[in-house]
Amino acid sequence: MTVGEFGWLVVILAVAGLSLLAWRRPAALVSLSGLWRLLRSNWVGRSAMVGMWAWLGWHLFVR
Amino acid sequence: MRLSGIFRSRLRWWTLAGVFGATWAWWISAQATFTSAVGIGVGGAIALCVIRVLRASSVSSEEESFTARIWPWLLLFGLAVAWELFELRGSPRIAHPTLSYLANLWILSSRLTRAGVAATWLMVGWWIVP
Repeated sequence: MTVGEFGWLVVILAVAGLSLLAWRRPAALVSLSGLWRLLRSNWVGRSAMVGMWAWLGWHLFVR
Repeated sequence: MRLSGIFRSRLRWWTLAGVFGATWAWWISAQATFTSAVGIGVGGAIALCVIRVLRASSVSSEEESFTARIWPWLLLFGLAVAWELFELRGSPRIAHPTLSYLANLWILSSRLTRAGVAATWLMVGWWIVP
């Protein structure tokens, strides 16, 4: 495993760890689904998400 | 009676949307990159989603304490972006893998997984608008 791959593994584990923490201590940390709801609830969040989504799709399939 | 009519109408709508989305994803997965066809296909999906965002009405936000409870996520997002940029500057790619490199290697190399990614991308775009 390269250092680069190890870094991504750490990011994935951090997401899993924070999700677990949010599940056990909802008063301390917003869950991923809570973040999703927050971003969808207002115009700025929706626009940012659509922008990222559009860029991702274009980058993956069109280049 | 009326409820069952609504249910049937929704079921029909979701079935149509599912068939359309799956067909689109399968078709997109067969297209080569940098072609007009794939550009029109993906651009059309993006245009549909942008129209939905522009037409959507605001939904009431969550409680105020939300902002105090999201900073670990923001920190992690910042670290991930920093790592991506760090890897992007390094070479060779195999030693400094970016997310695009890993995606090409693991999930975009076969048509089936490519179609799965296309279908998932389309569904996420639909779910963004409440």
